[in-house]
Order: sequence, then structure tokens, then C-alpha cells
Amino acid sequence: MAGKGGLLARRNRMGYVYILPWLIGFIAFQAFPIIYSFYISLHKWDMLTKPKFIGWVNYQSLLTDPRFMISIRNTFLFMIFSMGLGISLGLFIAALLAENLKGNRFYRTVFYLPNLVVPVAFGMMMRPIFGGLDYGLINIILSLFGFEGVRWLDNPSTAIWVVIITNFWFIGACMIIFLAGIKSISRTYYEAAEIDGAGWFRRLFHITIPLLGPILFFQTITGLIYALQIFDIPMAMANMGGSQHTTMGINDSLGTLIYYLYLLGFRNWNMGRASAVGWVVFGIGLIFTTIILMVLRKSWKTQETN
Amino acid sequence: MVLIIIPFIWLLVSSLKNMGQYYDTDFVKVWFPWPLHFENYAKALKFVPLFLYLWNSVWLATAQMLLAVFSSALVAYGLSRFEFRGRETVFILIIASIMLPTQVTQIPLFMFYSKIGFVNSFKPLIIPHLFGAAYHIFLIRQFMMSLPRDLDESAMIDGANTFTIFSRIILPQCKPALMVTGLFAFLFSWKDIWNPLIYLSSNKFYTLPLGLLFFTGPTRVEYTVELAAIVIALIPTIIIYFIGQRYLERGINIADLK
Repeated sequence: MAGKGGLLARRNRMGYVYILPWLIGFIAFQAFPIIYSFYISLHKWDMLTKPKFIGWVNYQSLLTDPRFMISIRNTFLFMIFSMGLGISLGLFIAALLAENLKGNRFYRTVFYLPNLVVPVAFGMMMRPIFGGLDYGLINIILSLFGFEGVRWLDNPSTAIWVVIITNFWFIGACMIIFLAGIKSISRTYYEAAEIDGAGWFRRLFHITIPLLGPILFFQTITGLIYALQIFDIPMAMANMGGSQHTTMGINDSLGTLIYYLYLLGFRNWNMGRASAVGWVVFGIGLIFTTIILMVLRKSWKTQETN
Repeated sequence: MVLIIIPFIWLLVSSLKNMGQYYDTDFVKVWFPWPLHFENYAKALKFVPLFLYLWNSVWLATAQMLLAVFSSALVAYGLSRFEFRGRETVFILIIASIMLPTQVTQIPLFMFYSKIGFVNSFKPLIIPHLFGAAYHIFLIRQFMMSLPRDLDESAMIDGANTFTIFSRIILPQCKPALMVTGLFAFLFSWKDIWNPLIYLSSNKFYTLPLGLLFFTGPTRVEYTVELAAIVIALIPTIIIYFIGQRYLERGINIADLK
């Protein structure tokens, strides 16, 4: 018996061998680079000359940098609306689709379709929808009603809304996961609720949403990280043909944090400052994830005591 | 519903206009331009080697997919079939690492790759996929946990080593999960713009998204030609969708987080 136990223990130790690739990858491509980027963020470094230690200057200069301010504002606006409205709208549509199963597959297909399009291409194809002063689909419709055209993409106060609106085309990804979640909820709950005379909205808020708990939570966190990293759609909209652009759209109106990180790091070769932006992004993600986890743990505890 | 389709139709219509028609503001004429300029498509293909970009995208995404799925399956196997100390910690760490914004790590990595001369090659885009990706590991592990252990236990008694069990018994059973993960992995690299953008600077290495982003011809190109290029770039997407649709739906059930 002892021999067999030893063999099993030895066999179990093989588990370390199998997880080793991930561990190496995690240290080499995630843990170490993040720490090292903090080191870089305290330096002035253009990759040609030697790095020069300058302490917190990179972070301080961000506070007075108008381009950074536009970027962080845009990122937050995008995060609030793409996550908040995106998740609730995705849930709403999923709940609607779950009700009538006829034509379900067709609708699902159409809703999911934009998610298969390369985001860059999608951003580029939305550009002629918004257009400029008097051309572009939306401006043409506005002019039908006698409104004046808007230069949507040139203006820092409207440009981010174009990105937010464009992003609604991607809610299919979130919707399809909710749909699967709703389908796994036992039908008896709904039947019981219906007998009790609960309306559609009551059923949504009292059965669907509470029972979707973990999925909702997972979607919130991935949505948050996605929003924090958004840059491809704004970049596709800003980029007017050519690789030489050094602004984030006209008047930097389309700036987001990662977009700015890219420009600082890979266009201006200001590695220190770009790393500081990176750490701001990292910090925001960390704070939000912690808050969500804390809220979640609290709600679990209250559920247990009930 | 209609809202979702409109941009696609608008794109198709606009790609057949010349610039005069593009700036048109008459509500009827913008939807039904006449004459149609099919030559935009020929121009798009002449200005930019779209088929080369397409090829780059396809083989890169395929290579990344195969490597990522295989390495992730190895790790998932380690997590689901062996009891070792620290296993739970590693699993939590893997889940937590999904939440790290990847771009934060890119500056040090870029410096490293440029030091060893890997920039402007496909290497930096392929190497990270040798080590498994957290999300894929999670998906495959969930599936492996649900597999009965009888088969691999009897193979173990027969004296098969752990890798044989993995490749002969576990992997074939995991096929649905592997297909789904493969589809996700393929789509992920297919849509990726960040890595090609920072690592690929020669024209000949461009992937499809990068080629679209930097769409410029030898002379100033009409914007509608660019739109024609986008239409061409959308065609493979539709093909992927019809191949992958089945697996996509199954994948969502595996990803079920309960």
C-alpha cells in the first residue's frame, strides 16, 4: 500500500510539469513586465540614450497634460456607457429573445455578426455613417428634419459618443452569453411566477437577474477590462489614411488611455511617460476589480444569512 | 435589428460610389447611386496587396490558434487531473491574470524583443502563445473536470505515462472544447490590431486589420476605394462565421460559469 501511495504522490507531482508552461509565461510575459514597466515609468527613456532616473515626474506631468485629460475622460465615459448600457441592453435583448423561441436563431445570428468583423474595419465603416458637415448618413437624416449637420468626429465633445454608439453594435457577444445563462435557469421558476401573475419586468428583475449572478459578474469585469483597453475603434476612426498620424483624431478628440500610451511609446518613443500611462490603466483596473469583488462578497454573505 | 444591418448596407452602397456621389446629400440618391463604380474594387486590389495581407492574417491566426490551444490544453490537464499542493492558488492566479490589461506589459516586452532583434518579424506574435492563455485554460479545464475519470484511471493502471494518457485519452475526448477554444483563439488573433501595430512595420508583414488601418496607395486614394477594400476584408469573416457557428454556440454552454 505504501508503495502505491508513493507512486500516486510521484504521479501527482507531474502536475507541476504540466502547469509549468503557464507559470513561465505568466512570469515572463505578465508579472515581470508589469513590475519592470513601473521601473521604466520612473525614468526618462527614449530607447536610444541611457535611461535617466527622474522619479515621479512622468506621473506629475500627466496631470497637466491636456491630451492625457481628454484620454482619461473619454475612457471613463466609454466605460460607463459601454459597460452600463451595454450590459443592461444585452441582458434586455437576451431576455426578450429567450421568451419567444421562434426565429431565435436568425436573430442571434444577426446580433452576433458585428462581433466577427475586425474592429478596425468596423470603425472604418462607421466613419461614413457619421460623416462630416453635410454628408454622412446621420447628417443627411438630420437635414431631412431641418437640423444642421455636425462634424461628429472633429469635436472632442461629440467624438467619443461616436465610439460609444459604435460599440453598441458589439452587444451581441454579451447578449449571447446571457441567453445561454437564461436558458440554463429552470423553467419552473418562470412558470410559478406566471401563475402568481408576475409581469415580464417583474420576472426579469426577480428571477432572471438574481439567478444570473455569476455570469453578470463575469460580464461586468470583462466589460470593464475591455473598456479600459479600448483603442482600436477610435484609432480606426481617427486614422485618415496613413501611418504617420501623431494626433488622436482632430484635436485629439478620439483619445483614449491605451491610444495615448501607443502614441507616447511607439510614435514619440517616450517610454517612461507611456509606462506611466500604462500604470494608471493598471491601477484603475485593479481598483475597480477590487470594488466589484468586495461588493460581490458582501452580497453573497447577505444571501447566505437570508 | 434593422439598425445592426444598416452600416453594412451603407458600406456596400458607398463602396460603389465615386467621391462626388459620396458627398451627395440627397436622401434618395445616397441609397441608390448611379452609375455604380465597380472599378473601386479593382482599384483597391491594385493599390494594396490585400491578398498578401489576408494570407498573413490567416496563417498567423492559424499558427497562434494551434499553439495556444495545445499549450492551454497541457496546462488544463495539469490542473484537472493531478492533485498537488498549490493547485487552487495557481487556478485562482490564472483567473486573476485574465483581468490584467495586456497593454501595460507591452513596453518592457517591446524593449526586450527589440534588443534581441525580433521586432519587425512574426516571432513576438507567436512566442507568447507557447505558454497557454488564461481564458483558454479556464475553458478547457472546465470541460476536462466534467469528463469521467474511468478511462484514464484504467490506462494508469496499465502503466501508461501521463503524457500518453493526455494525448491518447484526454485530448480526443476534449474535442468539442478544443474546437471552441480554437475558434475563440482564431478570432482573437484575427481581430487583433495591437500586436501587429507595434511589431510589424514592413509592408510585406501586414495583417489584414493593419493593412486596412494604413490604407494608402501610391497616389492619394479615393475614400470610396478604401470602403471597397473593407468589403473585401469582410468576406473571410462571413466564411469563418459559417464554419464556426456550430462551435460558437456549444462554447457558450461550456463557458457557463455555474
